[in-house]
Amino acid sequence: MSISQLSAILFVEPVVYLRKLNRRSDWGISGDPRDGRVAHAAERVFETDPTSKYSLYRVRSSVELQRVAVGLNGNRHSLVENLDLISFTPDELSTCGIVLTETAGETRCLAANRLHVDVEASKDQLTRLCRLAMDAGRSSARVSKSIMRGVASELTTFGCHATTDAADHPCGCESD
Amino acid sequence: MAHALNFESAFDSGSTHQPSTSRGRSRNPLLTRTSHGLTTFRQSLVRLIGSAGEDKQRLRDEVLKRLMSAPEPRVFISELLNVCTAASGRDGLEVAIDVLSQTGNLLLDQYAWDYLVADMWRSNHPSLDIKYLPNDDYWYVLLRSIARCDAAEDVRYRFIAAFGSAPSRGLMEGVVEALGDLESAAARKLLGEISGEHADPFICELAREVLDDRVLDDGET
Repeated sequence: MSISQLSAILFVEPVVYLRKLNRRSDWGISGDPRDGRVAHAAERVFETDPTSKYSLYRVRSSVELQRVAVGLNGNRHSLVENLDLISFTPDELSTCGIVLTETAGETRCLAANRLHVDVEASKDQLTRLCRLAMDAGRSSARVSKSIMRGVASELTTFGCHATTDAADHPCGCESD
Repeated sequence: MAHALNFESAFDSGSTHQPSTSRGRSRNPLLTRTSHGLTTFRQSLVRLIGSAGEDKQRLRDEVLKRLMSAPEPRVFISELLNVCTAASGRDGLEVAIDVLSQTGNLLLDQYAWDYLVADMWRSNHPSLDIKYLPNDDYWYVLLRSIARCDAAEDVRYRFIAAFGSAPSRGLMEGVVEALGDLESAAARKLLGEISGEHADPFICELAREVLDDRVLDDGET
């Protein structure tokens, strides 16, 4: 599996909004009983809480997917960790009446931070969103350790801040 | 939670685990739970979970330092699991794994084996009205942290493999991911068996994916 194959699974082009999964099972698989799968995903993927805002990343290319992956894993002890993602299309979000607010992300990749949006949504909206994506056959996708190793190496060459330990290192991705 | 655990294999003759000597000691758990040290530890954890990427490493080190110097590490580990699994929507699970996997032998020696015994006891006494049961996230964090800690590889494998026939998807997911974190041939063999035989297609698929990635990763490193 390559980053471009992952992009295809996530329907990255022309544009999707990515949500990180805590566990792969949070999204389930197509053979699972639908109603239970939808309810489980809405609760687990978004940890339903009426006061919460949920982080999504707007991604339009494999390059942006790489930056978001490194940004999110830059919060980990090691960059080389599995990262499970699910995507939602702009149409799915708008059909559910979910409004996106562009806000700076808090990862260590400044370019990834620019792709961050906040979402406020009710449990019903999130449940509907998950159902729409599942009805469309959307699967979760894993940026695996072997892929992350390559991505991290590439972005290290690029001077991405998330690949360094230095606090004052500029992010090479930002100038791109 | 009724786990089908391979309990005997976890404690076979090769196990280096010794029951904790502090178990029978008289102590006041309420006093410990409300101690200043634990309160400070909890505050550090909450700061870590809510922090931006730039502050994570420093705060993770702070939490780890408090945990490693705690007079009763098991109470602090329990607190970490409680706080982090309640905050799973804010990356609490990975925060817990990243901290616990750096605790060397402490996690296995001071916590996990005894926790396994206690969970076995609870699952074997379903008639008792026990209000608290650990959820899958607890075991997910523990299994993945154990796979990454500094204990001997065969000890880590033995602990994880004890859950190899667990019936729930949530628990088996932790087993598969933890086996993927181990380097040993035994872990790879068990992953192969799970990928071909497990009743849950999700678990089979996950095990196959983890195995495939290990092959790729081995080829590249």
